[in-house]
Amino acid sequence: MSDVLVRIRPASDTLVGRSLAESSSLMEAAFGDEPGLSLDIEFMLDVTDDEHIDDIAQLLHSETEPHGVIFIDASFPTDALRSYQVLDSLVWLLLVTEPISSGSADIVILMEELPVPVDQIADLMNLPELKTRLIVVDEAGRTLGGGDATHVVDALKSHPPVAPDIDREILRRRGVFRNQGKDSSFYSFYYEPTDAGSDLLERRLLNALQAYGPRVVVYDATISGDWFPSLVRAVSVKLSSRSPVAIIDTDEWLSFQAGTLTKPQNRHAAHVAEALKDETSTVAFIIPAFSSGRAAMRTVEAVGRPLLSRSQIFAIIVGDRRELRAGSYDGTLGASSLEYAGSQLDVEVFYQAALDLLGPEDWLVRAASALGEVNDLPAGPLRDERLQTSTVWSLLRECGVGKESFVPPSRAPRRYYPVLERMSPWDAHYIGELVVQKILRLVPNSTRDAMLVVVPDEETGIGPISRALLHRCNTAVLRVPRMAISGGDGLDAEVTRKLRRHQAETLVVFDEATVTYSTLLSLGTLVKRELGRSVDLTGCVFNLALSDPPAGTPFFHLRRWRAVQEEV
Amino acid sequence: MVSAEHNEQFAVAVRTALQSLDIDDPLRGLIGEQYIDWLVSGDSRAANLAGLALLGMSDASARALGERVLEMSADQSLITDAPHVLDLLVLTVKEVELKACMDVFGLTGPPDLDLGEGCRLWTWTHDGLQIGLAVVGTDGNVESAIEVLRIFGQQRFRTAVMVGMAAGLEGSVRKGDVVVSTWVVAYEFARLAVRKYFPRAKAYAADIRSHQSIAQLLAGHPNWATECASQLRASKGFHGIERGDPERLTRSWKPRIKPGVVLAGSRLIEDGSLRELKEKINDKALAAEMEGAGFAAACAYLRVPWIVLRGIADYGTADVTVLRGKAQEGARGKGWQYAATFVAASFVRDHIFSARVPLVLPSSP
Repeated sequence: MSDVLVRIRPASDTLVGRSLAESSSLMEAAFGDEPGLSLDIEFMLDVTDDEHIDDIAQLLHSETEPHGVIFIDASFPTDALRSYQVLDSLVWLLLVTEPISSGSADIVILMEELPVPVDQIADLMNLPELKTRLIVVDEAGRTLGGGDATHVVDALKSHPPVAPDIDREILRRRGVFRNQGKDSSFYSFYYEPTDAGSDLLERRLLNALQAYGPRVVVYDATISGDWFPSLVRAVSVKLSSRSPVAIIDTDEWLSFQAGTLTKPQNRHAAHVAEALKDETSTVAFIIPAFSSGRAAMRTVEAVGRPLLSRSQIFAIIVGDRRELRAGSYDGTLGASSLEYAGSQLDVEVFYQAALDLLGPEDWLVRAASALGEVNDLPAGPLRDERLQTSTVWSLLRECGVGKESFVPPSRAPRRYYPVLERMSPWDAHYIGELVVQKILRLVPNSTRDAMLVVVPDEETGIGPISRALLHRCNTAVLRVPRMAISGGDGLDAEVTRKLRRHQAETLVVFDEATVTYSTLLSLGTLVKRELGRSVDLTGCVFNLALSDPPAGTPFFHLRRWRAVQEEV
Repeated sequence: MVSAEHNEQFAVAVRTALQSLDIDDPLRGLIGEQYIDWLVSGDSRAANLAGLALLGMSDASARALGERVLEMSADQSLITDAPHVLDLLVLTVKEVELKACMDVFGLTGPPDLDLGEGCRLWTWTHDGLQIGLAVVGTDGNVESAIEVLRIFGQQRFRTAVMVGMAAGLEGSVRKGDVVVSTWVVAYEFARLAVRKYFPRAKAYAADIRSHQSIAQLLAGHPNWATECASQLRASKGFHGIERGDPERLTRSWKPRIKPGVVLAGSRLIEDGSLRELKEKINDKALAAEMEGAGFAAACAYLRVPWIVLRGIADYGTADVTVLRGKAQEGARGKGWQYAATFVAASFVRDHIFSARVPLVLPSSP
């Protein structure tokens, strides 16, 4: 073996950037051979487990031949890097401990952005014995350090950029949502892209707008949450760094035309009007969501038809009822069209979302109306909130209800049991986020990064939720095998090691449903036995128990009803 | 408690869902369960009614659900500060009835709880069943209702039985027989219009599972009545029927158990008007007493399944001669009071404690 690959991520950002396989492919392209050893390292906030890092350093030392390369893929948001400093510890141990420090292995660190002088890694690079052996490369191909990284930069250019998984960052809220307007329509979902704003949408929108080069940006925020105007403003500021761009909201423009603006607002709108008059200027109409086309038409109507020949419509999200063709701008997903005044207008779109339109006669809409649970759009970011009755029914209408299938021999199955293993990743994300919000509220001073959710390792309903907690909600999850929970054997060495290594500040035991609390309580006992401390919170999505949890158990559930057991 | 408005909203939503979903859609069943749980949590009376209605259905799973609803409903008693829920309350009224019950249940010693005003409670365990025996101490429907509520304020029970004596309809029952209530009728409620009397009796349905199976039960235990009669004769508290009573406890006597309507009012009937009451109020009436309606109303309020068992001690007629001052006058005989209650209590011990008559619900898991 010669070269070694180390992929390192904070536990809460495990899936950020390249996978181990993608990093391996990149390394092979750069150094001509695939790594002899690949390590995927996950760490938690405030890691002090020097022993663990030392173990890794020793392993790398034993596996690396002289003149080999240690390629460290640490391409994740640098804020986390600066806070956690685990990379510093690892590199320090790699470089200063014998015999690596006296060997000649080159160390290449791939980061999202180059370190700044305040980062410890930058300090390390100044050490005389490391100056020629340590080099940092960022995703844009910039380098820092003394070694030659041309081959890595070339490989980065020839390899596809990290494909962002936008699904992970867009939350699809389930419920009954009403689109306010002349012909009120109802939807089962509301897409909330706040978390995707800066990371993905901004990048995509900026790329598209830079390619188009508008002089004026007109946007319609009537039906969007706060995320949309801030996204457009952020993109416009970046656009203006190249050439001035005038930006205005449709409502502001309409008020300008009606003469109801204040003086400063009027000055700004007049400036936009001036820019629009220039027949060489191009206009970008930006709308948050494109479904019926109403918002797009409103914006076009507001500014005026004559501009259509030098304008382009951009939509962040499009409903899936429209067929998309391949995108025409770099960074866009595809394009759709809007029929307007007898002609077809192109609409560039960034994200295609499934819509589930509900008629006013749908029983779910009528039930939600009776319960006062019809939510007006925009619904806004998710907070710690009640899982509505109609939302539970909507969820179960999709995943189904059946006789409880995995039942301990000590009791009869419940007759009607939610089949949450059929839950879509979208719904699991939504439920997972509700759970996280609940934990953040119930455990004082808890943070998402310092949270560990311990769940049974099962492919029942907890499966989709635990995956969502890990992959979409950015929380650390530890799965405990069923045998350890019910077999009385305790945790095996691997699970114990993971549990200790997480060093979570907030410990939560969680399952998708409970009938007798036994699984949850057993999990809590196992955790306490290993760590010597009680869990902070125990919870489930559906509490179907006939009785309350034992006194003194901090407990939460998203919904509760007492389910009837199957007759035996 | 769930507000009425909120309850109505939920009911409308549930109705909308149930009407729209296919009959065999399991989501329908789950929403139905959620609604029943909602009722149990928020509207106990509605839950109790729903549970009883389900019990009466032909579908076995519906009946099982009804039992569960009643059980959950019983768990939600308005009395929240009692530390533990016992399984069965046996309530009796007068000291002679208490004596018979204690003899039958093998109880001695002072009560575990003395609530004053003559109301006392003994508790014990019989084959895993946690039971209480209480005595009201005074007759009357209002009084018995008050005492039931006072007792439940100190100690909750899942089920309740009233045991004691009553006047029986001569010709239909004999002294020493036991009437198991199908209904208890508060017969004195009426509208007194000019020149006309309109009865407005209030009826309380006893727990339906109890009387339905009595005939089957007794058929399965043909020697029970004979054994009961010998136990009565051997009982230390039984000193024979007083000489003046025309009806004797012969060697061949054995009690009978009869389901029937029990009339409850504030009148101590000694004038033979029981037959007239039967004709006016309910033709299935077999007995008359003075506490059953209050007991039934209180149990319904507390959502506790209940039943009344009355041993027949007289016929509501002046069938013995007593001396009042210097004058002799007719009065109802009291010689059968202990024996009648003894038989009723024996029935409770032998059949209700063992859940052969399924009044007693299993303890909640």
